[in-house]
Amino acid sequence: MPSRWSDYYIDYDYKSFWKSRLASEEAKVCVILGVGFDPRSLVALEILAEIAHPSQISYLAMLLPPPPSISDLARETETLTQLNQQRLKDFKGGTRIHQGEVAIRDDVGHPVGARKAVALVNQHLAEIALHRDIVVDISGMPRSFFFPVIKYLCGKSDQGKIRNLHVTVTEDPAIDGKIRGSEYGDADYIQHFRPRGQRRLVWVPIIGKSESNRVNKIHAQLESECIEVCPVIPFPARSLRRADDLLVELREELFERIFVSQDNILLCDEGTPFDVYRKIVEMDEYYRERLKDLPGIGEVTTVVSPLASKMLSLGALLAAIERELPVSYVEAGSYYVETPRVSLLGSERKLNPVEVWLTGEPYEIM
Amino acid sequence: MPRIANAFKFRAADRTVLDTKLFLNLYCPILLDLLTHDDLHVPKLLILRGSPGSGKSSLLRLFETETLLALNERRDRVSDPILLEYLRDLGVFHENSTRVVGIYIDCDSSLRDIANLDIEGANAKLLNTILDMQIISGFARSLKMLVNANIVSSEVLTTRLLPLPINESPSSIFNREHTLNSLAADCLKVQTEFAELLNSFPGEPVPGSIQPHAHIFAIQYLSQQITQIQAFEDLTPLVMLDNLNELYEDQRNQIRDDFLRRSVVPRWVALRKHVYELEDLLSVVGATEHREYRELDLDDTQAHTFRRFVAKVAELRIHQSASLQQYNVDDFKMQLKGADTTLPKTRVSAGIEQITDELRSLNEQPVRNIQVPTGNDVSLDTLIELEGNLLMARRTAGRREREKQLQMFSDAFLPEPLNSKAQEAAILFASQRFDLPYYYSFDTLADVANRNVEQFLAVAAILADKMIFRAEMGKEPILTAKDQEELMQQGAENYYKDIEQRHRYGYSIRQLVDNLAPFFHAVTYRPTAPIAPGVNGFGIPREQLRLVLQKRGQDSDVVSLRRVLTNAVAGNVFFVRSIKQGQAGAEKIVFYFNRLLCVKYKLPLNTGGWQPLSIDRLIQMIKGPVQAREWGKRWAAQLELGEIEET
Repeated sequence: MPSRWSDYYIDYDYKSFWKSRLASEEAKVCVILGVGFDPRSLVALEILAEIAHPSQISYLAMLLPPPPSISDLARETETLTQLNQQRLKDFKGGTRIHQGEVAIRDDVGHPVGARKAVALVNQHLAEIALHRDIVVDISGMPRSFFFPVIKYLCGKSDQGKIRNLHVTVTEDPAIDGKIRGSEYGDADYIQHFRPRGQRRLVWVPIIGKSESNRVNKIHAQLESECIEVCPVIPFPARSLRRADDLLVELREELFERIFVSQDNILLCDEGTPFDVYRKIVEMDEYYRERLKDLPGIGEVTTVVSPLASKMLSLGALLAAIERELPVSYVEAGSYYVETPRVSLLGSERKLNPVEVWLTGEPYEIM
Repeated sequence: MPRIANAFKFRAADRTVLDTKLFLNLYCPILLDLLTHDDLHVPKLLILRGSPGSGKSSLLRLFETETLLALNERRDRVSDPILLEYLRDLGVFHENSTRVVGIYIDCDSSLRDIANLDIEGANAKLLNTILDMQIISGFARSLKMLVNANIVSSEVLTTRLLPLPINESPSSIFNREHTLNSLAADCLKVQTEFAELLNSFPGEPVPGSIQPHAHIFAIQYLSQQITQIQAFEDLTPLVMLDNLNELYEDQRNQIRDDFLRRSVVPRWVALRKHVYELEDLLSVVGATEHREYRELDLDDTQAHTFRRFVAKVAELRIHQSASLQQYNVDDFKMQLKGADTTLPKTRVSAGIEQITDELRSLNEQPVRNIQVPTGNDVSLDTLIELEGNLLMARRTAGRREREKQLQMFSDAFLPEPLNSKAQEAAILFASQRFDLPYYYSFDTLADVANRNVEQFLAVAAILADKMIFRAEMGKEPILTAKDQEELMQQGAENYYKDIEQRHRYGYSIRQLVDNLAPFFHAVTYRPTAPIAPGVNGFGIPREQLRLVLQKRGQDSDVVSLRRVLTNAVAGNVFFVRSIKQGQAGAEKIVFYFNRLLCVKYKLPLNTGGWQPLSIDRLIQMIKGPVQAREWGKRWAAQLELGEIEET
């Protein structure tokens, strides 16, 4: 069965792509972005502003409040957030559709950000849809935000309400290495990605560095229905030893607690979302077909958990959209930056977003 | 032959993972002592409260039909008679069969999230709808199991179920006739469409099968069937809601109101224990205890009961661990060796010299009733006695000094006898001075569990791992006292490292722990041990805590403190006791360290030793490192703060 993104469009030269795409003055783009402490939050928008006229660019910014500044580390995160918000305030390269705070959690601490993010985009859909291109910049957005937002916009694209949907992500392992998630809650399904009925599960965690805590939490949530675990490890990756390092780091969790069969480990290219997407889609198809007639098993669904880079997480999202897969995740209560601010911001000049075109023109001609 | 290497790594609540038989092998029935026959047969709302890991979920899951049937099938097996005995006493089993239809519902985020749906104010009613569907589906599924097990006649599947009277204004699903099969099919359809609704986006319509329910009708509906239809009359449906604390307060109260209504169907709800005595996750004010509801506190067990409980838990796991199955719990306890009763003098001579030198400097005889040991070995009792003598000599010298300042009759002083608390302090001090193990034995293992089964299993699994390793190497699985202490410290270190990632506001909770630990340590190891055997808690006056809890808003330090304390207590990093000392109204709420933190910081495992701390000081302690000199003037006078900071 052909999958939706078996042919796909990805461009690693973001600037050139948009320079050519916005060459005509009628071409208009709307960027949906999350602005928190991450210095990559505004990179894609600012690059667009360098190459196009302000009248061609609009943006909808979700301001992500920092964790309560109880501690010194939290205050550092708060300062970085304020710096980003100031950058956005000073941004003159486009028209603001909306800019407002979207809380990840409610007053009692339960996650509500997914619904609030979707509600915000839905509220401004008419204005967004006026643009030829819509870009969701996931660089500074939590997974619990961009997963449902992109799913929602894909649906609107399928209904013909928007024309071209793009995603952009600014990856930088050096910055990722300096950011530490903490204060994890319990594992739960991301809103809008819940399982449909009670079924046996095949769990596909996409694993990154220092994720043993989240792996354990999600496994504890799923294990009662889980019949197979197939971890995804990035390979090839920027560091070719990454896969080995991850397996060594997680050996106790994966092989002594969860009893993962070594044959079940999937290696996926870290540099593109479409490799992990294709493998998850194929695997979901395989397990659904092979296991459905087995006594005591019945219907099976794959559950994905995006615990690695944004690029790989995007691949998992595409598979989840296409196959209607549940997504189980543990949102960090807070992120801390373990480096002086100057050092974190210093690497920004080298950042290069990647363009991923999800729906619209290239897919219409196929 | 068990196929599990280390069964201590499995919690009983993981029932569906383990399979029912293994669950039953691992389940320890002592908590069933808390239940009475009336809880099933004189139905009222039963509220089970407990801290995380106290055994709530395991207890409820035991009453699921699937578990009861598995137990019934295995009733002749030797390992289960105690459990069966308990359940017979409760009236669950009668003449070798069960008529209890246990319906277990986990109140997870899918129920909570109904409150966040954009469905024009129908959220509360839709919660009733999905609960009705889950209860009826659970009933139908359980009943089919009883039919398949030939306990109940298959006629129940085709019997016409009675609709609720029209004057009850039931929802459409309950106001028409059904068979069990047709009702179950309707419920399944609604449940499937509910999953669609939860995944839907703004503007998408509510699926047609989902009708809002004004109340939870399922209880009433089941009551009607079992009281009016002969085929159902000796069945006891049991509706169990687990993790009620996961829902929003309004949702909890809504369920409470419906579950408090009188019915012949027993309703049990389990929720995390209230964080403080001042806050309640499910208030039953206005209802009458023992008539409309009954509350069980699963944490409210005596230390010896908990030790008995975990001994049973350990025994069940020993039998299921491949390399340990030939042992029973008494063997297991015996493998946990006590401390050496004598030590080579060469190892302890420096410490003895320190003590005798100090005793001389205090103008005491080196020893009052014992001689300084002269042989090659020194008994442990002698070392403790020396330490005790030193402690009492310091106290006497201190009193003499104070009295001298007051110009009283210092000659009248007699040395104090060593009381039991000072004796405990002497053991603690001696363990430090002579590098002796302090945390060992099965009872200590039980005590460091903090009355929490999961915590017990987490630490016991580390000890069991080492025993298994020794057994597999063909050695006796003996653990010396030093081994035990090191392994418990490993468990404590694991626990500590997990604090930040595991809990909301984890960074600040860890910061508070990091600041309190040196404070408790310094106060405990004061030379005269005035709060023997030591301090491992801090107290806040009840009224001050009430003000902290009432504080709302975003930016206040007090609000931050409330959040940090609430999450720390909910996550068991601290546990709370109310202490009434001094004048009326001077009640303190004392926050004690989790016992594993006591192990990490070499503090005693008792409760009782605490110190008051101001709200301002606590706020300072959650924000960042607090130096010893900032503890306050009182401590500057009593402690060598400069030395403490250096260490």
